[in-house]
Amino acid sequence: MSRETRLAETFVNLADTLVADFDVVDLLQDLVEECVALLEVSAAGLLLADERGGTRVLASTSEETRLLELFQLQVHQGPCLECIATGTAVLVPDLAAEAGRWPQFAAEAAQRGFASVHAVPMRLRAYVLGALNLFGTRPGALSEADVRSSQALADVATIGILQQRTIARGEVVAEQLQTALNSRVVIEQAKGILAATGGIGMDAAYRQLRGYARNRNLRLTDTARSVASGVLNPTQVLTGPWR
Amino acid sequence: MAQQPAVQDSEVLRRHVAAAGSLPAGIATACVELLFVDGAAVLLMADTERRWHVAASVGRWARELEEAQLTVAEGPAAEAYSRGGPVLLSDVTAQAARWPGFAAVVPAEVRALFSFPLQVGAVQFGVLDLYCCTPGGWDGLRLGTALNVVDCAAGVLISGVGSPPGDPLCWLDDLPGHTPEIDQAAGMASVQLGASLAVAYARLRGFAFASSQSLVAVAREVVAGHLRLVDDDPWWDGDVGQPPIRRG
Repeated sequence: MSRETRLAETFVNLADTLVADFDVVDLLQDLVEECVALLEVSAAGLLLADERGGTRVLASTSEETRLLELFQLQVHQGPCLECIATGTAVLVPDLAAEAGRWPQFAAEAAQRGFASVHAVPMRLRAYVLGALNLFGTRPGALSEADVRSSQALADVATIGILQQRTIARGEVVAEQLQTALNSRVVIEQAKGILAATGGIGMDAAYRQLRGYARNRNLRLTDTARSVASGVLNPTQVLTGPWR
Repeated sequence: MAQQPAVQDSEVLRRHVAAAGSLPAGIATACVELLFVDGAAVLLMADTERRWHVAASVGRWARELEEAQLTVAEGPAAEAYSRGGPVLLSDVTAQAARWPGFAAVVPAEVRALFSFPLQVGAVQFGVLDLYCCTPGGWDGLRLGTALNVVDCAAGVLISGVGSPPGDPLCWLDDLPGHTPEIDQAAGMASVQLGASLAVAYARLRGFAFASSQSLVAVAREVVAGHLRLVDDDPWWDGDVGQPPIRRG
């Protein structure tokens, strides 16, 4: 399949999701995974600007702490923070060459094996919801087509979080953001329960949870809530190769 | 996270909880001071019966507002609780049509209403309602303050479960729900202890307190499989049926 065909297919699938009753966190997880498949990057994550101050990770291609810590580090400095502050894409093809801009972030990123980073804003008019973060293991610029594709993917994420195209009230944005952030907490709790029950890692626990929900056409957050509140037995989620 | 304002907010909360002698009353009065609202109320869900009760109300219309919501069993508080996110009404008159029963009974003086679930993920305690007698939305700063206070309140409610040792407000520095490892560790600990998630959070906090570590540090140990909580902490009385209210 050519890259263009794959890209078109991705957008068709995402658009399909948006018309049905969908789960935001599940959609965003798909989206970051598609970023890695489609673009010349090796890791991706979506960070939301929290009304409380700082940013929070809503989806990430890996649960590895090396990646998550890199996201969290940007609470203080980094391309993602700058992207959210300015509402414009921050493209850093060679992080080492621009280490002076964010010395601590550049050093940590290099130590974790990343050489390039790109942050694309999630915007609704003047309001910046967060940013899509893309990491590469080798220095290199995103092609113009990739920059456009990543902005389109970030726009899909924005629509997904807001769950409606016309926002009647500004307050709806905050309502939806906070609901999405709490969904993420419910999922973390369920992952912990599954990991301890099955003796597996957090990545594997997340895969099982998503697979189970998908297999039964359930919303990911609802399934996670069932596990976390003790309504759904974790062993049921763990049996079977839900992939 | 960089949360300087949250520290000040938590100090105000701490002061009011101590002065009021009860957590819900402390939360409600702290919100009136911090957020310049005309009234505040805390609705708690009694765990065993799944029934609501008004745990605290401050302001001329607060109790009437909550009794109205409980009577018609619908409205912003119920929606905030079931959706797991805030419901923000800058103009009650314009938006109450979403809940016809509620629209019919809400006191006319309540012109703006902001309902926040008191929760940590799937652990839900109740709802905090804040109202103003003039319509108007909140800017990001005010909303951020409200969210921080709500997080602090939920954190304290959780640490009140089973009465772990120490100041119940001691853990306002690292709140559950902000660091994934804390929530993952709570899930793991609940399995290892055969206890509810709320108890697991309280036990993690208790362990962190007893061993003079941060909650995040303890959580990372649990997630890495280096630490496993066992069921013989000396302070643990196993009593989880108490309403999560702390006396000052």
